[in-house]
Amino acid sequence: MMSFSAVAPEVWIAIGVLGVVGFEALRAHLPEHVLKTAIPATALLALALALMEALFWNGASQGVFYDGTLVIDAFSRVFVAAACLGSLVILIYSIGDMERQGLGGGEYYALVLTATLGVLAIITAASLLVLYLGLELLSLSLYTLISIDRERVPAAEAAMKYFFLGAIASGVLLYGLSLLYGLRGTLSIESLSTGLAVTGAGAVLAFLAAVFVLVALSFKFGAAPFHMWVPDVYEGAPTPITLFVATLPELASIALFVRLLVSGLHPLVRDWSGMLIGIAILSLLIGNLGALLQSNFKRLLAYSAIGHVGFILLGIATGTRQGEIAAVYYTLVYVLMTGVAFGLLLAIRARGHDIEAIDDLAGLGQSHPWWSLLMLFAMFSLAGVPPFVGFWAKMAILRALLGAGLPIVTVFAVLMAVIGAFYYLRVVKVMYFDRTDHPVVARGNFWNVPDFILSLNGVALFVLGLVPNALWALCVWAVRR
Amino acid sequence: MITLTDYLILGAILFAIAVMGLFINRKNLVVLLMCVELMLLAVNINFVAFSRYLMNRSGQIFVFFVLTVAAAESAIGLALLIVVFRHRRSINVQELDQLKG
Repeated sequence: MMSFSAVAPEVWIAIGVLGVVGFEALRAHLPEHVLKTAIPATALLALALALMEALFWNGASQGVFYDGTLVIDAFSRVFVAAACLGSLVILIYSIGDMERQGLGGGEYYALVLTATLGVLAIITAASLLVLYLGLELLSLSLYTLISIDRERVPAAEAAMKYFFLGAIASGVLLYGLSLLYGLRGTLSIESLSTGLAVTGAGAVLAFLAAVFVLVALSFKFGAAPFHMWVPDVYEGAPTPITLFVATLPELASIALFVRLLVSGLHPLVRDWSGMLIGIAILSLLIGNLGALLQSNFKRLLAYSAIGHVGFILLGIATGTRQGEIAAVYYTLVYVLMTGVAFGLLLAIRARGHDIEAIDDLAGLGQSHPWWSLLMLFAMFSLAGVPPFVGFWAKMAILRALLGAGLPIVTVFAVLMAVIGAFYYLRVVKVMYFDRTDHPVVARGNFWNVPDFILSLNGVALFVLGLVPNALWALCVWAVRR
Repeated sequence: MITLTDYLILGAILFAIAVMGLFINRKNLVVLLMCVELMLLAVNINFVAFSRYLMNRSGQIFVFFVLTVAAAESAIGLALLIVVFRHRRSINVQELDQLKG
């Protein structure tokens, strides 16, 4: 049975890539103002059409497609829609800033679209080959995106570090995949979950493969002790790219964990859950303690990201269905919160105030009251203050940990969340109470489409916190077997 | 008679050499790139050996994809290397130290 309906979102995005590249090829023959509207419009339209396809996929097309390479199930549907929506919103936030920096050429849109394509391939992968190709498509696009501003020295250095560490992670993952292929004799992920040996001679190889896969996935997720690239990339990349790096790959990483580790390597759950708890605890420790020492705002958010990954991994490490749902829920919420935090940096920069250090936030409460309020929403939500949605995400993880009989780890996670609250609240304190010698002048009292969507995104943190069950029900549906 | 185990040991040794190279070498970014390539080739030996032993062709198809991706990866790596070299006039690993904290 051959039909394109199973890959409809991917097809639209691929057409978008071709369209953008086509316009770029005609640069010499088309007037500048046509290109300035046509290229972003093509990219946005492609993502919007992909989102529509993902939302209205008919239920009949569920199953495994194309010789067992692609699977469309509830998880694919939710995450493909989330990735398309996320990519669309991020592009809307960042277009203005990229244009002002003179980086808004066709290559930017083409690379964002190929990265999204990679994420979609990972989410829908049913075979190890598709999983690997999706991961490489995402990673190679990200390396290039980070260094898109060739004149910025820190960007080149960040991209170089990310490139080497990412390449090592891919190599390690591939080694693990080759062992898994040797053990089962097929590339299908589903067959791993049914026939992987847990005793005998194969057990050692299977254990080794699990270790390799786990290390590589932790690397891609930015979990400690494989987190070295995260702060450098967040600080070195241009802010619109940081927004992209901080959100979309997280969706891909959780998909990798769910597909390869939780479903694929389920027979080895006893082996990897212990290791994963160790990685999660180390991430919580390094993320939250490291964030205390930071003065650069983007670096602070980078360490906070490591801490949040720790929470997500704790959910997966329980090995229970409840933990898996909690981890998926936490990831979606985290992407929502980070989108607001970085989107605000871009919105405030559009009004003539560049924020690098945390101290640059001083006086923002008076000059930009609405954006400061949204930043407060984002920080409270990241810290896990009720009734914001971040609180329910932490709650879900803690409940799953208790359900799995890990009370000591639960207490440790709560302690780390308390330490985390300190540096998030410091941002709020600087914003509202610190005086500055150079008061921020409110400039540009305008509203446009990105501002409206950003406000909606920020308010959603509060509203979803009041009705936490809506998103939770979606996650329960996504992770059903 | 060369058995599957021999091939796997060869793959493991090559992989280990590549990883060692990555951690020991502190001077030259080009050598790091070569180590990454060696890593992927070690994996290819594993795939081909398993594929032959299991009489299953998908492992060899995987190798073609890995080779293609490795080519793309080294192209991007070399491009980044040139960007870094233009700014610094050096490809020393230890001089990549502007971002800290």
